[in-house]
Amino acid sequence: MRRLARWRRVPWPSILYVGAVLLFLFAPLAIVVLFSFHSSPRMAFPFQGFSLRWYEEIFTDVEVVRAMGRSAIAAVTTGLVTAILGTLAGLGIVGLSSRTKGAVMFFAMIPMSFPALLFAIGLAVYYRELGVGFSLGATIAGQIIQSLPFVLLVISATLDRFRFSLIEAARDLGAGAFHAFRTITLPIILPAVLGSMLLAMALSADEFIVAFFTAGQDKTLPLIMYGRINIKLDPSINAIGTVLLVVTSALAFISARRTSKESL
Amino acid sequence: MSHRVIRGGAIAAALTLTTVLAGCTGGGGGGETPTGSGPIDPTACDGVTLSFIGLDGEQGDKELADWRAEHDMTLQTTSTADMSQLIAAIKSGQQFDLATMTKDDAQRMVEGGIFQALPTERLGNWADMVPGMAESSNIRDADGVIYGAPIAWGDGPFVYRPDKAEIVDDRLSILDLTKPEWKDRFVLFNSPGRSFYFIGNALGFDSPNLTPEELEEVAATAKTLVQNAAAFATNYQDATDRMVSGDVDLVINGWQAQVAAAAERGVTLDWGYFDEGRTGWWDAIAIPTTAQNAECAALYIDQMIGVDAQVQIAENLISGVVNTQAIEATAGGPADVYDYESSVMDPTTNVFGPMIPQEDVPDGMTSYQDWLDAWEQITSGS
Amino acid sequence: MKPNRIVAALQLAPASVYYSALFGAPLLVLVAYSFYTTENFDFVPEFTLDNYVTAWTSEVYRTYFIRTLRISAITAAVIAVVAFFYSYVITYTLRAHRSLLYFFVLVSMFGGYLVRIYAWRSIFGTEGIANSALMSTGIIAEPLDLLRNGEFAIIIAMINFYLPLGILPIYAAMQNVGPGQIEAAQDLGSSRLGAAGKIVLPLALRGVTVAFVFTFIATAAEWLTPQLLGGTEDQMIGNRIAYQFGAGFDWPLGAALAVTLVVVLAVLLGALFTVVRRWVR
Repeated sequence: MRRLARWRRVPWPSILYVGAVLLFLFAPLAIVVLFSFHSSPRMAFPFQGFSLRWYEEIFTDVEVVRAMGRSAIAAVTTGLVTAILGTLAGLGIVGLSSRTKGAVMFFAMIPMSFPALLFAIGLAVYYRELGVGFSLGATIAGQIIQSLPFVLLVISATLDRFRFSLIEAARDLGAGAFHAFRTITLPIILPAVLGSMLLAMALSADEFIVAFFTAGQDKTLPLIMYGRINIKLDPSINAIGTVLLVVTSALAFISARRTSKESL
Repeated sequence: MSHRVIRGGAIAAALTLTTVLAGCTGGGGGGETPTGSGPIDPTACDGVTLSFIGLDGEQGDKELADWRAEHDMTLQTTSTADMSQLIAAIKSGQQFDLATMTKDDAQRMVEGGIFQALPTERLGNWADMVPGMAESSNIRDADGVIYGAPIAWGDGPFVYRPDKAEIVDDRLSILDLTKPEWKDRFVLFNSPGRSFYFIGNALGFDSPNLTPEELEEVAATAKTLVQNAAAFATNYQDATDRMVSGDVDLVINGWQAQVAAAAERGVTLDWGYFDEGRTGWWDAIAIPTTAQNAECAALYIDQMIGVDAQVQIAENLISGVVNTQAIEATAGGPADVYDYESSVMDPTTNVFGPMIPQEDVPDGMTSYQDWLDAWEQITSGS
Repeated sequence: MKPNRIVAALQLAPASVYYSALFGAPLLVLVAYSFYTTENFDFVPEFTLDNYVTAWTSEVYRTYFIRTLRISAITAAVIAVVAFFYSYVITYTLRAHRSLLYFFVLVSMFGGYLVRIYAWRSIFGTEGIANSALMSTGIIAEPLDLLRNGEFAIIIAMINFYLPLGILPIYAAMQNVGPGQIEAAQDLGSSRLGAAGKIVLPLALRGVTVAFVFTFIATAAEWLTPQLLGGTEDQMIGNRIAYQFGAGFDWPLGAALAVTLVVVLAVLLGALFTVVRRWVR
């Protein structure tokens, strides 16, 4: 009887819903991973058997390996810089009057609505006029602009309902500003900061257009991938995507564990 | 912080930007043009790094690897199959020494000023260029100046899946594809050239010379064609992929190399020609206005059209050769699928003739811009 | 000036400076281009409003704009709803596992945008998984034209790609509504769903609005998905803008179309924010 009661208490509809959403989210990724092991150069069913040939192909390709390194640098730098700039700005925005806040957020959101292609071309023309040239750094600088609004919006949405009385109470009790930030504000916003940092990294790792126009000869992984698609559409691009997926989820997992220890 | 301070900051920022932008006018280009005269110095490439933008596989990566090693030369490739991206990259000032120029966009690329004149009289191998290419109006501007050297070509068949589409004698009229039985079974490229050219001929007009009334009629038929098509293919690989996965049975503008690419994936493709004629494709290499090493770029192009490179390119791309001395050597090889006599050896055949209106449009005829506008109207679905 | 205002200004300064230098300036370059004249494929700094006249009056571009807004609105609305319930369920009902379930969403953002589009082709294709599964179970006899209904394929692929973007702000906003508040509402006689509507929705509304805005804007500027998954009459305004900057050789018109897109989005979303704010009040 008791077991039956517990069975009834299990929130089946919720579990089904979450399962369905995750299934939908991961369906194309499962296909990407599956075909990265395909023995045939065909990326469609029927599946003809497993092979590691595409991994062998990409890891023995110096150009791909170098591009992996550059993309890793770009993703980490973009993630860190965006998180710092975005968190600071998010904290600053909370302190503004609601009208100023609206205006600031409005301008902050423009890069999202501006077609990436145009931003990339504008940036390239601008770099040329400044005479700074095209490089990985130039690309990272542009990718930071692209992910900053996302980070800012997530963080300010989190801080929006934040009770500042908590901080004032802590300050009244003699806590220093930094101490209050570390013990109260930071733990509350940390999941949001981390999530948006990962988002920034994902956007950077996958970003093609800004890189195409500003990377010069410092080609990132997406540039190599898109280039390959022109001449031979085969599962080596799936293998690259799978490597990207594994590395970034490992990274996400480590940082998620760290955050949950500190804050949750 | 008061509003005044914020506003003050905004004004200061705007002023800084204006100053920065003041320096942004003019500029442009700044590349080097080939200066010498007489044959190009064979050592022009020694120790040089050239950068190429365009179709990967058409930059001589494999074919000229030994030659580059001999001259201690490096080639960097920025790969794109999207000519719009290529044009935008050069227009926005990125420096490239070599770029792909495709036949369909060649006229606009030339008139758009992204390439510099190619000193063909200084290229040792130019004399052997097949007449169909050497005399083509597509590689020239209105004054007859040459801008690019074709390095590969094909005769523009339609490519299809014989197991799913029965096409008698490999012949088809473009008008067949506007019929209901072809609904959602083929792809085409997102550009008016071939469709308008074929339809114009099918309707009895003298393509590409169409009057506005004729263009209207052609566009009406083209609308049925576009609505009947499953999708736009973004490039040959994309079209092959769609045929291999069984989503479509035919691509209007194909390339014999697709047959080999599909065979590798276990699918048999075949090709044929439209009753309304053949419209070949070629890809050329040209020197962008932003080039830093134009002398070496010209020498490199000369190597690309040389016999050795041509024979290898033809085998790797399953394309036709552009060097008359290289034709013999391709016989019996994988690229032995082209009829040189009826296509490139005789410049009067229409295979590589103008498929779209040229820049100097005869009176009363529609221009290519008119075609593009009509196409935009069709594809908007309005 | 109050001290906390100074702190706020200092906190905002780095991002503002960075933003002006690397986005404001390139943007101004392009806005300037939208007033240029195109002559013989060249862009001449001669002031004209022609590009805006074309962008605003041409029936062709109106069709593209309307289609783009429709596709984006559907995508963003579906995402907002799905993301709200996902965030709600993992925050309150399956609270013990919320970090893990949130983590899964984050991970799904990686793996490559373009590769995914090709994966959708092998799902939706005539001989793809969806059709094979439906046919082998006898639900359908003939393959469905899933992929050929271009708009459907575009929307599904975009929902898939941008859903994490929607979950992110909603989940973040919900972390400020404790489960205690929901239990309190339930004790007062509300149903589970009623509690979601009455307590959580108003408090998470900011997050939901942000999710909608995020995805609406991001999808309105799309061009690769419609190009690779759409049919011949499903291209979006992003495709036309990309074309004008390339083979169209008309940067000024392309820039005017882009500025128009930004303005239209700003007006629509500004109106949305105003309505939401009133409603919450």
